[in-house]
Amino acid sequence: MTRLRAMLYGVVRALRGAARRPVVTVLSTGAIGVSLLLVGLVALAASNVGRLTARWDRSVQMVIYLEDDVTPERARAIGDVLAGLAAVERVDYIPSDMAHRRLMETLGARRELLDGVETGFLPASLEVRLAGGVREVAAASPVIDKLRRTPGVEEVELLGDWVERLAALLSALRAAALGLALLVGGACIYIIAGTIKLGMYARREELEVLRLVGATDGFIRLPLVVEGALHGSLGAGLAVAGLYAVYHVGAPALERMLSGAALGVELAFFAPPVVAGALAAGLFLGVTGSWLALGRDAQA
Amino acid sequence: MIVLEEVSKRFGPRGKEVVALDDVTLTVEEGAFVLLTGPSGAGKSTLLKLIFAAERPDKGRILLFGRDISRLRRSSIPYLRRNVGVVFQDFKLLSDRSALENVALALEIRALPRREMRDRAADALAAVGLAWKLDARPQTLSAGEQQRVAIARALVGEPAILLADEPTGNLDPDLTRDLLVLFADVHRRGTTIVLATHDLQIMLAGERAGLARAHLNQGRLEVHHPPEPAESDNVVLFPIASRAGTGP
Repeated sequence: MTRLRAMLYGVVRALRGAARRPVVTVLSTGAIGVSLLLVGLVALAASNVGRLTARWDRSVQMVIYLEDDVTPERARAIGDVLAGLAAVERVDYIPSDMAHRRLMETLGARRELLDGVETGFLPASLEVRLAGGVREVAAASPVIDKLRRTPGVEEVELLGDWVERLAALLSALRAAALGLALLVGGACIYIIAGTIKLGMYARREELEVLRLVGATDGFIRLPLVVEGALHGSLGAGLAVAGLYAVYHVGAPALERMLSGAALGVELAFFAPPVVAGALAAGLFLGVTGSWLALGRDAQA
Repeated sequence: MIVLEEVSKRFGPRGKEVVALDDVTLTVEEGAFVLLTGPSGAGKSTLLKLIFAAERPDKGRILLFGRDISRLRRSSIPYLRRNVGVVFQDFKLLSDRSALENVALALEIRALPRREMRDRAADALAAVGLAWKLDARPQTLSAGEQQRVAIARALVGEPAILLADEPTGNLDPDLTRDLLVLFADVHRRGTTIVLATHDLQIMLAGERAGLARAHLNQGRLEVHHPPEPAESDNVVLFPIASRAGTGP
């Protein structure tokens, strides 16, 4: 009970300390919030690119465009041969009208762009999903060359290149997010440590009196650590709120832009566990900053 | 109760050291009222700091309640200090808190219930004659009243020992007399007191009352008058009539 009460007093003293220096508190949490918002933006971009590549990675990886005069029977015959290969997971025949319909769906509100265009202007195709791990092999495989020479086949396109490029972008984004997170995390710790040092300076008389009357290190440290944790988690909360605002405003426009580029994309915000993790990270940064600031200063 | 055995303390870098205390041996019995006298820089404050473990001796032993505090672990020092009240010349009161909150600070560290803290702090302030100034900020109080608040804070935890470092340094003669009466009251209630001073008024009063006196000069203990048992049990610094005039 006594320990609990001591902790409660510590939290109350921390809140009083933060309230006594509102400008410092606002500046500190604001700086942490903006810094973490930057990390959040890069991480959110990485997360969405990740979702995108994962989706494409699971979908069609090779498209065989057929010449105009190829009958559906001939197309299915080619498909059957392909489906018999061990590296091929699935083959779908997409007639010209279905390709047109898909394009209309992808364009959505912009489908008027196709007004006046004939339904059969798109070639029929075979969409091939390769077995996992064979995309690179397929690219180098003589089967592709053979397919290209097969009568009725106009073009063979491997989508692996796109996926590879997106995967590279994703890796770069992830690396940037990690690097930025480390850099910004360090900066946040530095900001919090500075704020707590300022707080200790402002409260040096109180700390001196507390030592004189027999306060333990824990009693002296607790409010300062709580204050640091408060700054860190408030900063993280601000960053999450800011990021959500940016997402809320920017995501629909970005989705429209990407669908205009024939990339049907639905962006997503971080899942609740990730948001909770971000808040916990802010808390961690705050506590770490406080501990660094305290060092041995708060000891008797 | 307080025993210093061949205690030495120096400050400053090696080669340019200043001797603060040199081979001081002193015993303060339980319930005694000892005046620690000497000119400025004689080592009085250093000696008090050693007793409440704000400094560690370079040499010698300091026994408090039979324990060698120079070997005390850092984590044990706060618990020692809860048994030693300290009063300073500059009061060390927090200006953004009321008199009551300043006194309650010494109880807050023990995590007492808020109501109990408030009651005990109010009682301590009443005991030093400030019952009607609980909510006053230190800057609105006179120097004498501020020192009383500091004494209340030092005593609210009921320590066995009260150390006072030049407590009347900022007070005029009348307030000094009032404060000495208060110290005498505290002593009568059983608290051991070590009062460091170079105030002639206090030294004379102490002499009249037969108080024990330890005199420091350039870090060396020159005179140490152990208290006579009969006198130390019943120290009266001033006649009752004088004290009657010191109330609110």
